[in-house]
Amino acid sequence: MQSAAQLLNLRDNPVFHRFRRSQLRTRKAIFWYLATLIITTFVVSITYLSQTNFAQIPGEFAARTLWMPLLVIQGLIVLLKGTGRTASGLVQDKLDQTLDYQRLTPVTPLRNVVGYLFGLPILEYTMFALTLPHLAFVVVKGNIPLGTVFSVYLVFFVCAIFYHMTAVAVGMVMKRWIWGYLLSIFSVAFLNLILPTLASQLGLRFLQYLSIFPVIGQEVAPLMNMQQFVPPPPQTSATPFNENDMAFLSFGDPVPFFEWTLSPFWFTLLLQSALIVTLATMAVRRWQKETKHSLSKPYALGILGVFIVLATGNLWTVITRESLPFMLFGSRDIDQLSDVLAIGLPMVYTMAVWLLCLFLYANVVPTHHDYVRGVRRANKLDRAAARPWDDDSANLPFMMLFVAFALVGYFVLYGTMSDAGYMSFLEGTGFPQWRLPLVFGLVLVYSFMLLQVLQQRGTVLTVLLVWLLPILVAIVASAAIQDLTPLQTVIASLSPLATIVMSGMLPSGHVSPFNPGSEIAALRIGAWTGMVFLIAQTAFLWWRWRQLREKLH
Amino acid sequence: MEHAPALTIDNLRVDYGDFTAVEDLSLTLGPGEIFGLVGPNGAGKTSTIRVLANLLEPTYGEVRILGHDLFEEPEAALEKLGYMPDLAPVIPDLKVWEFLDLYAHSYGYHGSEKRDRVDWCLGRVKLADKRDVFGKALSRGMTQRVVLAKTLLHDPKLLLLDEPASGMDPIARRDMRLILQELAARGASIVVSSHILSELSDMCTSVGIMHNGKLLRSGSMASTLESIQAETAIIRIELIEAVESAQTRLESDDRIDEISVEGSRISFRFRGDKNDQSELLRVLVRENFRLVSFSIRESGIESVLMSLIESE
Repeated sequence: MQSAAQLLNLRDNPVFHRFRRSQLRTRKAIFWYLATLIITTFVVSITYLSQTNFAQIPGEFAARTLWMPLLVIQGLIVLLKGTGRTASGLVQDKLDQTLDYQRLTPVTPLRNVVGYLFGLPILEYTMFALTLPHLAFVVVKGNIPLGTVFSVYLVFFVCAIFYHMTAVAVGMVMKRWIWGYLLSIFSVAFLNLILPTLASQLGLRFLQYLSIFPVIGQEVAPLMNMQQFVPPPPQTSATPFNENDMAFLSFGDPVPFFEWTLSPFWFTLLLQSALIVTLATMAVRRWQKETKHSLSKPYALGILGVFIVLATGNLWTVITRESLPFMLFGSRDIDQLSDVLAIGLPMVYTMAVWLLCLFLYANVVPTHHDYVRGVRRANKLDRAAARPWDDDSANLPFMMLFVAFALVGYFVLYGTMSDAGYMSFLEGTGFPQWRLPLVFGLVLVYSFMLLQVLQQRGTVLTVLLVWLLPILVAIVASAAIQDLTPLQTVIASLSPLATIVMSGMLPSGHVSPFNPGSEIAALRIGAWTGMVFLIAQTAFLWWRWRQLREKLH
Repeated sequence: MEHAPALTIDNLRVDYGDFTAVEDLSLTLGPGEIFGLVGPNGAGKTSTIRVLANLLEPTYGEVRILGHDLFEEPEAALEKLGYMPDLAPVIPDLKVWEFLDLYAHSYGYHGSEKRDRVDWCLGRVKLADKRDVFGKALSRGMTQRVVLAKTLLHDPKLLLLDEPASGMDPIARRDMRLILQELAARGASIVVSSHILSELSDMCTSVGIMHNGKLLRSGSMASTLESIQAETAIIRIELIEAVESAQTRLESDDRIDEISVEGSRISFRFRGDKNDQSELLRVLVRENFRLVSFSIRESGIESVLMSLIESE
């Protein structure tokens, strides 16, 4: 086993040296160096001078406000450009087959991955270094504590490594450099913008710590408080945003987790480090053998387990009324929202775990080619089938473990909500509380069977035609009829997505944003027909898989 | 492990879905042996070589390199393995010496030892004057030579060369042949694939002929060629009369094809060994065909290969 020091010793890493030579050739790098210097100097100068000369803002505060645009520039260079280059460079090496040369050398897979991880974006790191004089100006002139600077840039670089590692994992899988480039850029945007703003609003606040923003919120934002330098303006009666509104995106707040609150700094470091380890494991597996799955089945199961703990830990704080999601519905009073939460939290959990399971299934379900190879190999070794944890194994028992993990999390959450009294208003309504977990379990089995039988390409087509199209048709029909009737809900119920939503609806009497009273009957019919469709589809896929298996054997 | 064969393949099978690229291939290669793997495109040569380089997972089978199980202890097995792929690429934005330096470093050479090794290999493939040229500026043949230099860097004991001569000019091919023969003389074993048998015939000590994933024949170069040639020969007979009835008679024999008639002479391809040839002559004489001559012409290497593949 090599030590961490050996592993991270870039001076002795041949792959890193390769990129140091090729990426930093003066003729190639000079354009980027000049562009960085010119743009950064211009942004810093114009921002500082306009604030001090025109807005009469004190120099110390003006210097502090420069930090944010500087971070944006540094982020664009290292997080965005660096990530894109890492993914496209790796895909290119794979297509050129030069990756194969490197695979055959005695350099260990992890050292190779480290070489690519730090070598491919080396131009971006040197461009970042060119912004350091500007940062020094901000820190010195703005009188910013060095501890704060250290915290922010520690998370910045962990974030950079996380995104670049994502790019390495993407690059090991993609077959065209342009797709690797675009997908990795999209990942950065997704992890920085889409997840924090959407998922955290649904109670899954831990997902916002995949970006650098919470630490900026914790460390940088307080420095921008101008009240330290100038007296506050007189309070007006109708300000458009109050303090609560600012909490809509709660960057910088402590992280609620079960009974504890964690510092965003440490939570971000922990979460991103765990993901870096996961992505490195994925990359190393693909490095060892291109045909290997990115994740082994036990590792995928572990990821699901950790996700469920994190999701439950975050939703727990909503249940115990320590934090409040669903700002989108306007209410600020948690008691007014109790029925919305009673419906919404299990639904959020169900959808989030289902999406993750789909991703994990896509990683661990073998192709038919792999499955046949596993069977032939097993037969050669006098076994009936591949070992359960092998990549080539179809392994339905593993799928049942996924379902069991997901349902245990669901019932823990549901039980806690019941204990907290959220479900008391359901008493006497006849609402079948078992329906959503049943549909949830069925959807998980169905999704697995779908991937197993139709494989990834067929599943994508099914998502379009069976999951989305019925919902769109139902929406158009609703717009045409201007009412929600059983016709639309039955059409929509062909989609498991709609079936999950309709299964979590209340039966009667409860008018809520989820559940307008006039549409109760239609939704109930939709939920039941959806469940029947789901059972029928799952049974069909199961039968088809048995047929296929016999044919493949 | 010192006396272990350089390469042992046992029962190797490679599938791509329903298509079987390599079927139950078994082979043993001794030290100093140059083994030519020959067959038409799609025969399974590249799949075999990629499995031996641990770049492709077989359906099943065992591969031992210098006594080490390739799938159980890949690091030890690959340590002394050199691999040159078909249409071998170089890294376009590295200079030739930088490209070799990268792999010399990867194979554990440092400092002056690394520089010496790079220089030696460049000299060996006669590219010392191209050391500062970028990979993207090299011709196809030069690229092949640079990759060959890379393959020689760590003094491998087993070399896998997939169509190494493609793109090389005749002089470079001769140089490559000399290099490989010199390496073999020093104890290295070499597997070299090609779809052109004549390219291998003056270099290899043994040969295997692959078709549709199966190893049809293997053995020493001379004996394999001889046995195939003995089995597939072009026979020419000359008759005084009854040429047409002789042609009809020959057409009825399923060991004979490609019959051509020129005046009183008939040429045809005959599949069978010396005994069969003798028997054919006896039958023709017994059936009162008045023969003036019966001559056997040995087939060229490529036609031997073609006839063997077609007969399979």
